[in-house]
Amino acid sequence: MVLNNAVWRTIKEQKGQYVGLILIIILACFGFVSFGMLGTNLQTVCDAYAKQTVQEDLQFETMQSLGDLRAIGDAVHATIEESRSYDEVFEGRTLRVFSENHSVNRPALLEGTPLSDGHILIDPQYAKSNTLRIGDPLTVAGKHFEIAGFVALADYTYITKNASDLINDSKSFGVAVITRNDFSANVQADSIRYVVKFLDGSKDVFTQGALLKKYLREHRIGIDYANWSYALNNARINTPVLKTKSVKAFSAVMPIMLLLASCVMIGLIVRRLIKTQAGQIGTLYALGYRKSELIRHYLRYPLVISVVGAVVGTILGIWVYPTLLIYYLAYFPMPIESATLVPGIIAWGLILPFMLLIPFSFFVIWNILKSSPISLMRGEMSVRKPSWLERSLKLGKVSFSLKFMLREQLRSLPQLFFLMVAIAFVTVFLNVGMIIKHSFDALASEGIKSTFDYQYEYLFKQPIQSPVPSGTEPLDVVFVQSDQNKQQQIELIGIQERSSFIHLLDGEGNPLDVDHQDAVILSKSLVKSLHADVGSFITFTETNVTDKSFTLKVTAITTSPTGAQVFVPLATLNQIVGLPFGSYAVLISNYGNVPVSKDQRYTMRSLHESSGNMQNMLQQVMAAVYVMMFVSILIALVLIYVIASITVQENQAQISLMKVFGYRMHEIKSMILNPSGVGVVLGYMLGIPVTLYVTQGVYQQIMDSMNLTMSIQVNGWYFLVGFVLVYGTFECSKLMCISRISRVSMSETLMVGRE
Amino acid sequence: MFIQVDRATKRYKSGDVETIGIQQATLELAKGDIGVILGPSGSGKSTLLNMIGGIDRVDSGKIIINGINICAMHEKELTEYRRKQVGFIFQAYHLISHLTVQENIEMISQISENPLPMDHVLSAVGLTDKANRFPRELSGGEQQRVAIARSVIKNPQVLLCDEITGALDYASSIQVLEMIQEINRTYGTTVLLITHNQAIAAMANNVYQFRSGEVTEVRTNSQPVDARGIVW
Ligand SMILES: Nc1ncnc2c1ncn2[C@@H]1O[C@H](COP(=O)(O)OP(=O)(O)O)[C@@H](O)[C@H]1O
Ligand SMILES: [Mg+2]
Repeated sequence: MVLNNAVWRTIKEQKGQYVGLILIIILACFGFVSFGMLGTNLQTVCDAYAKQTVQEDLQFETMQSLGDLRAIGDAVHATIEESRSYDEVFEGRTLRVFSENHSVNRPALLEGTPLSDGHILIDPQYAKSNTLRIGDPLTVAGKHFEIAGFVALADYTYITKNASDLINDSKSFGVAVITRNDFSANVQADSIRYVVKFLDGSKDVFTQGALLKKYLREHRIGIDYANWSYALNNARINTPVLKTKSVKAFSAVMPIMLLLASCVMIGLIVRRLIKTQAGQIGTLYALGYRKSELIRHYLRYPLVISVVGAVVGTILGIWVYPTLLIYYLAYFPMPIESATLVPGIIAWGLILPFMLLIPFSFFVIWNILKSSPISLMRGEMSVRKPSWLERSLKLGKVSFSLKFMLREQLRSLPQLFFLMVAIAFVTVFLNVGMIIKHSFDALASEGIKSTFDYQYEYLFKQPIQSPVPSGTEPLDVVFVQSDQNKQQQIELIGIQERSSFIHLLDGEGNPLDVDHQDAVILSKSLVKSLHADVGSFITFTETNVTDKSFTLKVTAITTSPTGAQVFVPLATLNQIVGLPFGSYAVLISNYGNVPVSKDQRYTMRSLHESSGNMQNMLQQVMAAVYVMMFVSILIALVLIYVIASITVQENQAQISLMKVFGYRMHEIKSMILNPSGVGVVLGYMLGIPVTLYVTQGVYQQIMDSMNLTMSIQVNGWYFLVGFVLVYGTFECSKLMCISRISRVSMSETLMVGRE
Repeated sequence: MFIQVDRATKRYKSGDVETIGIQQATLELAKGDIGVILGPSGSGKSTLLNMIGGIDRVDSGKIIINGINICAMHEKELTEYRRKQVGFIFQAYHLISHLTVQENIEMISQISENPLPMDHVLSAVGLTDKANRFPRELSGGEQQRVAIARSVIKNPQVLLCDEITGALDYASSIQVLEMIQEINRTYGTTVLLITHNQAIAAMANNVYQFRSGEVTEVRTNSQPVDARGIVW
């Protein structure tokens, strides 16, 4: 059909619009395919890794050796293995060296040769940060080893020094493994843990764990186990799994949103196109063309756009996802054979744009082409009736430019609405990262520091009763669970009255203290998960040692950024768990050289380190935030430009007329293009509360995963900067439209009514 | 002379085909006079009017308005010339459909230095009570009167009318012509009016006959008639 030759010509004439639209679809398909395949590949890698290494379900420590592991394993349907490690500390760096495991958490070789005596395998992140290469020598406990290769350890997929650390710092901490022979011959283990793989697939790990615990207790084996930690709650193990989930969610949500935006845009563009060609269409109708033929013709536009967008986006996605995979696996070292293409995702990537764009466009086209040929020919659609809204709008004395602006908006409400919603979304994406980053900063720099106001922790292996050295304060922590929420591990902390190191605040910012023996201060995060409040009674069960239950009455709630923690006086805690008066297991202090008697086994932990790590992580996060901001601005630019250029097209006759009447270029520009500014500004304003809502939700999720409570910290400046960016984008798109306006000729006006 | 066109020529090229718009057209009109251009369709009347109005440029020749050669003007100067001196009225009205009558007129008054009072202009075209209507809600004659009001509110020196009665019935046409004459008399506006209706020539001081892009004949009326008295 003759019209079809016009498709390319039209696209070329309005290339800005179509290129913009194609860009969005490319972005959508790219996101879908690259992140989709990244997610699936990560999943595969995680699963294969868990299988290959026989990744643990549970780990714990005991005071005494468990003895015959096989017998226990047989009794509870599990494989249990000892995991010994030793911390080699030099120049402020710690390398945690493990003895090679054979049945649970088997080391996975990433590169190099398998382990043999005299050799050591180290984790690749530590190697890279400390420029260690295969073949280099490395000294552990005074003995020289040769680095035989790089390794991944199943219980250190996310490599952090302390189980509670949020961030890894590969410069100062790494893991390594040597053979059992080498380990027992040269090294004194400073940590012995048991790692467990449950074999009964019919029960969940928590149930099996409970059975194991029951068995141990009944047979009085081990006694006093500590750090009972399920893989599902262990950040070192579940972080990559959680990341995989969020990657997958992102790969679905973001592209769909972009595609929906493209739908609306193609709808607006095609509608504009058909209106411009209404006369032609009427003629074709009159000449006997069928409606279906015309619909098919106009469907070519979304078709062309979808084909180009889907193909380019998918190819880009296929091309880029291995890089993303490598980038992710650099943080979570796991062996990978090769990145595998997922045909299903590629197919969906190719189909998705069509599935959304074609039906939507069909509906729009069909709806417009319903008009009779005669009315199409008369161009009745272009001289449309003013809506009742426009008619009822009485603008008396206001300035003409304001009237004009309002009229323009009323005339194109769908565009205004779309622009507002789109800009609101952009606003969210633009600001979410910044606010979260800022909130983290506040949490790290003020929140946590001002609550736990000390530098060092001395963690004893066992509660002791020695006198408390000066410049320190004693405390003790026991792990409990509540009947309300059995999965959550809660820390019951006994602290000193009028503590000078721990400062808890209530919701109004007043200090709270455990100033009487029944004082029970609950952290805000527990209020939600335990459905408790001041005055509630909560029954806790001590989980590590005694399995004793007791009931506490909440006397206050603290909103300080603490974890899932309950604070009571130290004396009360000792009484509850049956320890002698004056016992403690932790000393906190601002001094790093507190005299602790030699025979007490303890580890010292510096809080400095973790805040340094936090800074590191924030830098990584910032990179992601900037990328997100850049992409948002790009999307905003395309959206605003497409809307602006449709506006120019729609107003061609008017622009031409304004030129005839002697309007200056800048006047025309501002009258035609500034009205869209209303949508931009309104959209941004609409976006602010949405941003706050979304950010609070996202932040809450992060806080929940860290067992912290804290609300977002909003800095008005960020919104201002965001606004400047969005408005700048709007100004940019205006600049891009100027040439289109100057191209409108005055003869446009004169053509009509000729002949 | 207020308007002087001296051997103006304009050709249109589209591909290999060249059409003549006007060819060596020459014309003069004194300040405050009404000139009527007569001629068959395609003879170059509109082309000439557009040149005089500064919306198109001649290939050769001169167009001098009030002593200034507009052919030598830059794009920006031409814009200012149209803005300050020229009023345009077209056969197809060219009103903006989503603006009310008053807003359509305001669109011009707001860029004029000394616009006439809005009430005054509205009542002069008899549309005071329809100021808040939209163009679609008016008859053809009324719409053309809005266009007149719009071009007159800036009190232009030159009023250019291209077949403004072409789409109107007799009564509306006479009404519109009366208004043009009224404006000419009240403000001393120089009017150049295109028509192919011979009868209208009676109201002109000068009548120019066009044929194939050339002015073939100029007549002068010593006694132009009132528009009211024109019949066809
Ligand atoms: N923009 C244009 N492009 C090409 N040809 C044109 C254009 N404007 C006018 N013409 C041609 O110039 C000639 C004169 O046209 P015009 O001045 O409109 O005549 P009139 O107004 O007397 O009917 C015609 O042959 C017409 O086709
Ligand atoms: Mg003409």
